[in-house]
Amino acid sequence: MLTQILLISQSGFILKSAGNLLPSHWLLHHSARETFPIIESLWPYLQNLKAQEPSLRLDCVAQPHPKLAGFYCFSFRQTGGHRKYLELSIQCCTEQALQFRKKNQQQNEARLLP
Amino acid sequence: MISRKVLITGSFAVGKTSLFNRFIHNTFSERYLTTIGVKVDKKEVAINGQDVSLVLWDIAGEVSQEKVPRTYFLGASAVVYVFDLSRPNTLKNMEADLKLIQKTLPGCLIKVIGNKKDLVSEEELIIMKRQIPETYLFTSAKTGENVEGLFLSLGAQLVEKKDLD
Repeated sequence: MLTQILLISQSGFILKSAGNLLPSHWLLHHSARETFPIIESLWPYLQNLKAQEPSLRLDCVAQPHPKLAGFYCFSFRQTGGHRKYLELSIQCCTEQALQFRKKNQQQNEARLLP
Repeated sequence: MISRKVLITGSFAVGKTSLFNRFIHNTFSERYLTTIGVKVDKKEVAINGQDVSLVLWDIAGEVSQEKVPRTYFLGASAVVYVFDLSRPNTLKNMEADLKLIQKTLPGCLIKVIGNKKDLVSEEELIIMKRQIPETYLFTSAKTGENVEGLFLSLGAQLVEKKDLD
């Protein structure tokens, strides 16, 4: 399965990276906000996530990074403990997304017919 | 630099993705490809000496559909609501959709856009303008007409709003 898990500091830097979507050296010590626009736009909200809250999940994010073609599910959670970190899990869902798009495309094209 | 999230929504096939691509990448495709999920990208612009990062969220489907996850709305500062000037029925759900947006995002800036201006005649536009509020802007993602202006004016309003806050 194609996944990547990132640990992000409170100032937005990627502290740990594991997975097979992107090479870790592209991510480590880089700003998560600059690397992923989706994180930039959610940053104030993500900072305020509580450890006891359920993960924030965003399904079917298209091409979240210039080197990541396809669709991905993003799941954010705040870790507990003394120091707060943001854990981000990115999981490829391209196959399911393309099947869903095929169905949607047919429906919408039919609705556009005069 | 300030960063602001802008959501693009409206009925299907009104040109939301085309507006997104025209503003972010200055590209246009004639091929209709249904958007699923969400596409996010940003463009940095300078407005009155202030650098602003506009992060656009191009989302699939209509806001009135329960299928659109409410998480997409999180932290949005502005919404661009798009309808198709060549398909008047794309205005049908607008009132209800705008009410829902205002309820979900109180205080959020909303711009209503009639897109595909290139597909309608000047006469049709004149008639349309008589029926809708003056604040609605007409764009063509195909030719690029008013697209840059739309997002720059949105950015300016967001900067002004930030200064007031």
